[in-house]
Amino acid sequence: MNPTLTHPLTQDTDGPAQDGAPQTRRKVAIICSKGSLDMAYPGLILANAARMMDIDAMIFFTFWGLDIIREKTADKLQPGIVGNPAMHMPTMVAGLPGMGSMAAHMMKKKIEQIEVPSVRELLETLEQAGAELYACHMAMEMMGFTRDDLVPQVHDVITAMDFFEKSEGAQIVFV
Amino acid sequence: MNETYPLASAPDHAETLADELERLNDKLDRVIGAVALMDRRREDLEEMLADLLPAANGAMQVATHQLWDLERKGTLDLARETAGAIGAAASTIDPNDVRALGVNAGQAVRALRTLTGPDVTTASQRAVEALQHARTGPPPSFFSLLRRLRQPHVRRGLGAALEFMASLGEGAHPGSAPSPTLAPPATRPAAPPPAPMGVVAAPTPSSLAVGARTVTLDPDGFLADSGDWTPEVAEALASQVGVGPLTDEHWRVLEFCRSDAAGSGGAPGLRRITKELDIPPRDMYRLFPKGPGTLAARLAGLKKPKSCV
Repeated sequence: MNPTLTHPLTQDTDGPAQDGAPQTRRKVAIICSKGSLDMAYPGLILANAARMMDIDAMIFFTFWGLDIIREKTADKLQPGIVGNPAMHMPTMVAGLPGMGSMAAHMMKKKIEQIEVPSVRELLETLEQAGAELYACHMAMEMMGFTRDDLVPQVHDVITAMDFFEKSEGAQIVFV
Repeated sequence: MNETYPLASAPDHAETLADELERLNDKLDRVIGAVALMDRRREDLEEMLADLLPAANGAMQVATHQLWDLERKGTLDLARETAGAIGAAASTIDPNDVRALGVNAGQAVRALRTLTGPDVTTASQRAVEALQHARTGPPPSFFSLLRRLRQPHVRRGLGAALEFMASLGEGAHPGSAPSPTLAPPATRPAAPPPAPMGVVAAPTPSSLAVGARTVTLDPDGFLADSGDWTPEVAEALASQVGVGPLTDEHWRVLEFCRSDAAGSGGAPGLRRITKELDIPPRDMYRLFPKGPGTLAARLAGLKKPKSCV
């Protein structure tokens, strides 16, 4: 919880000043609203890629997206397999008990194989990279979560209006 | 005729004969009607030829008489055909025929022969009927037009029409751009081909002076030829992108990038660098503040990494 956090790059940069660089920095604001494994990765990877390209990045986690930044669930996200045509699995089979965990296990194994970081590692990398992670105040109240339920990488709990203040001038991506 | 027929003792036979005679009579009537129609058509044709080609009128008259013979033969055949044959005839005009017709516009006589064939005359007659119908009936709605596009014969007709237009265009100006007379009135200048997504229009390959020599960079600022790389080039690139004098930490990263690329063929992604060298991502952002994802590879004289993480 650090509402006054400023962008680390603006403090640490020891290189020469912005000589001939564009006056306004490129900025991206990503809204993560879903808590399944397959919906967590796009937002996190995009934010990380933006930072790797020296683009300012922030993520606003709301509704089911809060599961991505909850201590209890961050490592246990499951892919949405029921009613997901891309899973190529009949819905009746996907709905059987244990199928979700099995699919999650298989997917995580695959993710490790191709050297994609886990959700937890991505959150840590994002923090070090200077991306700003925010939780939605209203969704937190709705689900009965407190700041202590969230991973330490989250900067702050903010309202939707705060989000728009912080994302001024940014390209907004909704996941 | 019935009464005068001598076989009164065989009334059944007589009746059959009478029926046949009547049918024959009908057929004759139809043939006569068709001949009269053809006669009128011939007159029309002659008139048209006289209008169109006054200079070649005499020659055309001869040609027309020959054509008339052909036409009559064809039409007499046609008179015996039922209505179903008309549809079949229409479907025999395939796009290639129409194309040939357009391309060979110079060979007027041959084309005219084709034109007076039963297929074409029937088709043109149907076209006239369709035109008359179109004038009298209410204009079709947009959606009914769309619906009609699903009918095979409508599509076939449209295809033939397009082929005809195309061959007209080819004939007017063979082999290249449309002739000025046929060009649409408001021609827009041809738009440049769209740039592929993600490729920013611009920077032509630039170059970078390193001591006495100059190395070429690609539009993204990477070395155009990895073979140009020397430590001095890395220093020059570093100051170009605002990294400042390269420290030992920088060199450790750059050397790893070069050796890793030599093994795998591609520049390592940021995560691979941090894992293999056990450097926290935070440090990479400190060493290469303006984009550690690509800068390490860029200073190491490699291509842009393919990794997303």
